[in-house]
Amino acid sequence: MTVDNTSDPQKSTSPGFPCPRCGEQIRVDVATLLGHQPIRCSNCRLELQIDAEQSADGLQALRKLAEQMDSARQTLNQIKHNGRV
Amino acid sequence: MAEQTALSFYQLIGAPLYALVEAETYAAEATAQFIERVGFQRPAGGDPERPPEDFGELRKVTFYQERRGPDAEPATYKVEVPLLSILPIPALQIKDAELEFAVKVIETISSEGAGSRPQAGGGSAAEERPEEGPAAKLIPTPPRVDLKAQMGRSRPLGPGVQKSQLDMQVYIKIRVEQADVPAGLSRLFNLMEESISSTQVEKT
Repeated sequence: MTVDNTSDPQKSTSPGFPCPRCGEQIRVDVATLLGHQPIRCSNCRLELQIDAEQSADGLQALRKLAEQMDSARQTLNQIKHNGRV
Repeated sequence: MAEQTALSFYQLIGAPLYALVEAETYAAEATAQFIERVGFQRPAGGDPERPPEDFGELRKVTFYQERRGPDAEPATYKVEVPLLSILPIPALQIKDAELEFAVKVIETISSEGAGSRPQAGGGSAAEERPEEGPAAKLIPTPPRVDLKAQMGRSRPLGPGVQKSQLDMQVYIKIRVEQADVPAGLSRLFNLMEESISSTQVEKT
């Protein structure tokens, strides 16, 4: 028995935000944010620096999420390594 | 496995389908929890009068940039972006599922259909029930058959394979994919985009 739930393959809106200068979508890497590195617009090269003080709460949530993702990845790798998947 | 109860065929087929729907419900709840926990912040200490559907304030990340202001002088601008807009929101759905199980039919229950069915002796059920109209004579309706079944033993693995499966098993293969953006999530994306702001700040 096969159940096919496929509909119009419209994907979720890709993460990022429009560049305040040119409007191009800027994609942000979590590691870049957590490392307090500047992000750049790939179109106009506008550089944005993260304001660590004002973003403290957001960065903390992001750090927690990254830790949980790492932990989940490790568990998954362990399961794969043990041949249980 | 404990002694099995015979179930109607539709129940045996329906139970895994019900489980698939429930699994999607769980996935949707996980997405909602992700949005609430990561994307929103409630005031410290909590407010007991705040309704549970009130997630609080959008959690934001602030950037700053140096560029020339309207007076052509270098100025600092603050750009506030909702944290949720820069993260991929996990929204999974079952793309397709393949269920394979062996059933053993143990009972067949037949009930008379409403229409005509040739009977021994040349007559028909429709002829005995004239209130059903002439169409009943033309369109024979088979009697409803309900199958009672229980999980059967799976097929042998094939020629040359010594070990045979004795357990009752259901084979389930599920593929998941990122779901289409539901209407509610789409509205949230629009709200997030509207809340992105860029304002000039005093240079410190």
